[in-house]
Amino acid sequence: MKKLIALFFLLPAIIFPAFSAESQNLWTTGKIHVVLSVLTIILVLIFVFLILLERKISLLEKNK
Amino acid sequence: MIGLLKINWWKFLSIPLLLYALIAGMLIPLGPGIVSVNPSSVTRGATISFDVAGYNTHFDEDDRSLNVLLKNENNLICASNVTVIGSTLLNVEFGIPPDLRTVSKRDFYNLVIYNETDGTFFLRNAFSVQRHDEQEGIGFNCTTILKNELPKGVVIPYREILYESIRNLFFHVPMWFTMIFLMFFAFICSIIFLATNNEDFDLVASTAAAIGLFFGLLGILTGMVWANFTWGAPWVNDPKLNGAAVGMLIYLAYFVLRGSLNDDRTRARVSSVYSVFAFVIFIVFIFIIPRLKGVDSLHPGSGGNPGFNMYDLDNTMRPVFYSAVLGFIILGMWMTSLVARYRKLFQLQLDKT
Repeated sequence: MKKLIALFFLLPAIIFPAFSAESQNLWTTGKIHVVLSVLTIILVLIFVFLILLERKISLLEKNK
Repeated sequence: MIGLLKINWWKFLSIPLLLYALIAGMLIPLGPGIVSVNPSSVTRGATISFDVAGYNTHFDEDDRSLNVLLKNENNLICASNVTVIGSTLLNVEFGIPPDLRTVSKRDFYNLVIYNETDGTFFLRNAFSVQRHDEQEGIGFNCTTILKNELPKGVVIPYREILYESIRNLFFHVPMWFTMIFLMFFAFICSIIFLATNNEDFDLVASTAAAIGLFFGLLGILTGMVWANFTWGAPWVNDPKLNGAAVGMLIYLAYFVLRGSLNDDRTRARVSSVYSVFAFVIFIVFIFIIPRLKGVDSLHPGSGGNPGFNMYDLDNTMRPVFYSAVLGFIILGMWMTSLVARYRKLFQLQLDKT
């Protein structure tokens, strides 16, 4: 969980230097925002899955 | 079965695979291409000068080898003058001969650009030549030999309409591969349950189907975002989209069926039999119907596709794509094993009380 959160915050640092220097019009013509939205959807849903599982396991531990 | 899922080492393979796919998939630059040509029409016999906007090109670095042509099946016209304005901007001048051979009133030409760094790249039907008289023309060729080279360095192919969103191939398509793999795993587990009557297999089968459905949902959502920016609408009437949606509904019915049966053994047997048939129908909807003769799909591998097809999955994209597929499949199995182990513990606790 912690690793994934760290990765999520590091993502912009990995992505932006690669593009900003080369082409300024990337956000309008390059459609890179589509890729970022897709990655965000995948990450958010995986986090939702982890949070739900976490809560279920906590309930199981309480009932012991 | 549950014991097998506790073996750990293979799960961690997904971390390097997905990290590689993410970093390489985002960092490999897009190849050079032509974004637009303005203005893009001329009459026979006129001289025209226009701007060419490139994408990720290096016009200024290689202006010695720079070569700009207009090309169609009949003619090859060289630029009479090329001015480099910036690394992605050119001003080109063409003198269109008055006796140029024309096929129709409006002939389309591809604009082809070559330089040493960027290789050969072109914009299809970038330019049109109009004729106002019916005069017969001659085929026109300039003396330059048209080179056909790939760009230097590692690049992802530039495609019109897609542009940078071609990278979604690494993130959207593996969702479906993972879903199909998990459904196949559920199918196998259901068969083993029917053969051995070991209820653990039914538990794993239903968990795999649930996680598979989760990846199907991810595939649908990411696909809708991508389609919205490339096909113009989040849901187009495409046999692959509708097939995937029906396939997901079949598996939703599987969970409705499980929820409606109270007796554990009946539930396991009935839903296992359903799962076996569901997988077969799912395969029909996902793989067979979109490939039927006369069924046209916007997706790659079918006719009328504006983007790319599997033959265009070039050698740069292939390792990234396959490691993303493998990484997501292992991640899916990891998620399945976590939930299955949780559910086994839950069952044991229920049995105790």
